[in-house]
Amino acid sequence: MRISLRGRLVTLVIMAIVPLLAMAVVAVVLEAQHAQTLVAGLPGSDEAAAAIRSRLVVNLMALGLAALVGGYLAWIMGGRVIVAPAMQIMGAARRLKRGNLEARIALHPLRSSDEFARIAAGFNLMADSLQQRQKELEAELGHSRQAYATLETVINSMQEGLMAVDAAGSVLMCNEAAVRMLGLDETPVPPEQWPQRYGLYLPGHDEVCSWRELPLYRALQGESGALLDFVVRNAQVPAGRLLRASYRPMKSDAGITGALAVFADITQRVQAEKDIQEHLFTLQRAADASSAIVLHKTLQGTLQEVVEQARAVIRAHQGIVSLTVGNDWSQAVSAVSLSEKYAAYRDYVEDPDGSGIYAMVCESNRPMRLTQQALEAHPRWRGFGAAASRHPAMRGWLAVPLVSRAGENMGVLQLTDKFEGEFTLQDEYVAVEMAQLASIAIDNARLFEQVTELNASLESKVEERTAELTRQEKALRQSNQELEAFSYSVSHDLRSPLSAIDGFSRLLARQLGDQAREAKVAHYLARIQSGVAQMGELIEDLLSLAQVSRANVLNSPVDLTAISREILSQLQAREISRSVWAHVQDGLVAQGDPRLIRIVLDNLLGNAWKFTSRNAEAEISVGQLPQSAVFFVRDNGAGFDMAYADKLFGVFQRLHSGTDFPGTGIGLATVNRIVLRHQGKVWAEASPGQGATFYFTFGGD
Amino acid sequence: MNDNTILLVEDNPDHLELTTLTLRENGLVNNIAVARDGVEALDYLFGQGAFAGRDTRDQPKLVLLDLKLPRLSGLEVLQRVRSDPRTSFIPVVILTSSSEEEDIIASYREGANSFVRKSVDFGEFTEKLQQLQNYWLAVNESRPAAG
Repeated sequence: MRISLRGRLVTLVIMAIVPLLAMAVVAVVLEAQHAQTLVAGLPGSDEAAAAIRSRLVVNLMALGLAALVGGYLAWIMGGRVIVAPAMQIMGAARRLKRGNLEARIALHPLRSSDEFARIAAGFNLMADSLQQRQKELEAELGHSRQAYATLETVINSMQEGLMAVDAAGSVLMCNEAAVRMLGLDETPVPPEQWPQRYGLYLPGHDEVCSWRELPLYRALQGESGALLDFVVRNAQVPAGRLLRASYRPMKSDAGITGALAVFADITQRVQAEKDIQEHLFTLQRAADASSAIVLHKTLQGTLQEVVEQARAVIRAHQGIVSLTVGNDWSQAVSAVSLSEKYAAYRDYVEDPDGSGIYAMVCESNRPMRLTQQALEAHPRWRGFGAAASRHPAMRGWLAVPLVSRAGENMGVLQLTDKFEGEFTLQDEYVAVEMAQLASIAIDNARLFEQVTELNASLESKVEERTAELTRQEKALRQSNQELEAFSYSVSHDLRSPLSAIDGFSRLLARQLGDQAREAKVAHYLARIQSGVAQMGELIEDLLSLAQVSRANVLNSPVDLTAISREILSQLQAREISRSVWAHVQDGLVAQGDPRLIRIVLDNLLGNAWKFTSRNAEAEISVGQLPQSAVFFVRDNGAGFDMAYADKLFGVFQRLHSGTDFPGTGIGLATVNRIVLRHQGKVWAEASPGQGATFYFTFGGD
Repeated sequence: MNDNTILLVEDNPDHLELTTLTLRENGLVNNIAVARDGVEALDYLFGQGAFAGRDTRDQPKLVLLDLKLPRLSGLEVLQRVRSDPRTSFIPVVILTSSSEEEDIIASYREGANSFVRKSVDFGEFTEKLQQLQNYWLAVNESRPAAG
């Protein structure tokens, strides 16, 4: 209102006074110019000048009045034509300014000038546009808000912590994960104090790190990176939390405007990796150990290797493996492995006697794992025995059974006093694995020892057998000597009474004189003499057989042709009356003992001669099969039934009765023996009445 | 000179009888001395034991020696006979049932003059003795007695 009134006054003054003043000034000036001209022409002009001045005052007064009237008129007129539209425009502008985008100027068409109408139209146009723009902006803002909300949800859903700071280090943004991981609170602190405030360390360090070592600081320096690890350890996270950060600066044209860091909690991952690595390492060691274990072939060696390896793999100070025989601890075999810590204790190790807690493992065939406290509290804990006072303090106990292939307990592997910490479940698994391997190796070693023992006993058996054979050979030699003595006796002693019988029977015949020619007497005497002759022959043949067996076999070329012809002519000479067609192939040569081969031919040709005695046209031939070393003696005599061929070469086996063809049944046995002693063979082909062929070889084929 | 003494060393009484009978029938022998084992044979030859005082210059023309004898064997007797100058030249004929090669070889090695096997057949035996006597007592010139 105040402004309005002042505006109105100003307008009035301007509109009323200005034209009046202008007119007055013009009038006064014209007057003055006129007076001046008059005065200038008149002497004594002072009075004229005074008159002029008074007229000028009057004029001016009139002029003022006119101005007042004009001003009033202008007041009235200005209020209608100028002030009202202007006030409307200003009101609209004020509304608009206050945010009322609906504000518009509606002028009275007759009471406003064209200028004001144009101004109002322009204003309204502008307001329309503004209102439109505002609507668009509001729509856009709605979209943005929605997008931002989504983004925030996403960022807060991230497992990774996310944090952005401006160039000064003030936090611009920080997601929930970051708050959780770092343990941030509401009260902001300058970045320099973060390490102290939140307990930030570099891995492996005991003192909080410097702000300069943190990822955001590095990013603010323009660095970026992906694998910067640091540890958060504070009252909320006393065990510490390992974070791995990636970071980068935020840049604009003006330079680095801030920094962004993303970090992940890798505590568990790293621990898991470490566990896996350790486990893998242990398994590798166990595998190496197993190949070392199975190399041993003796039981003690295997046991020692088992306990050394198990102690090394599981990293304990003491190890002992005990092998029982059928739960009998008095027969137990043990092997001990001790670290340097127990070097002094080495001599005090007592072999287990089955009374300790380890026996439970054997009884149950299950592993046991106890902390030192639990071990010492156990009712079956027996302490350190006699060496207790010297025994170093221990840490934990792990015992696994050794189980045979058949599933029976063979003993126990014990480890005590781990290098670091307590025995873990993993240690137990490894120990069980190793115990299984060890069991197999021990089983194998036992088998190997058994085999070795068996071999040794076999060797001693062989020795015994050899000794036995030597004894037998000696006995055989002795019996051979006895046989020689026997055949000597036979030749000497058996023949003596025979010659006596023969001699006295003949003397008797002579003494009887004519009486002896009496038929019966002559017959009896003849039977006595024939019996004596037969027995003499038998003794001769037996002696020959014995000699064949004892004689050394010479090896020289033997002319079978010559020998055969000689024998045949002797036979012919003995029985001149017989007519035998005999044919001996030329050039028959064998390799062997001439004397023995002569006995063979003697017998074979003698037989042929004998068995053809009833043939009117007897034929005997000696020859050799073509392209072979097989000789033969063939006759066309009585022959024999091949069914009895297998009896042919046995001692005292005869296929003909003594009345048909006399014989001792020793001849072919002698032939067989001679041929065998030459590594040869003899066989026959015959059929009754069709003659017989005897084939023979002297070694070779 | 015509003292054709034969020393027969034989332990088997049957053989002794048959042999002496055969020798006597032949008629070349006028004295048959008999020893029943090796020791007796040596006693006779060296004039000792049961034959002490026998004139050892008067030695038999022939010794018929069996091999298998009680006490000293025929081969041992032969060894002694050959190794003693008083008897070393006396003809010794081995008359035995054995035809063992070893016996034959050993006999000749020890200095036997002949090796004759007793045949079971009495006819053959008689024949052999006949020939032996003929040869050693009639055909063969024996070494003159020493001295």
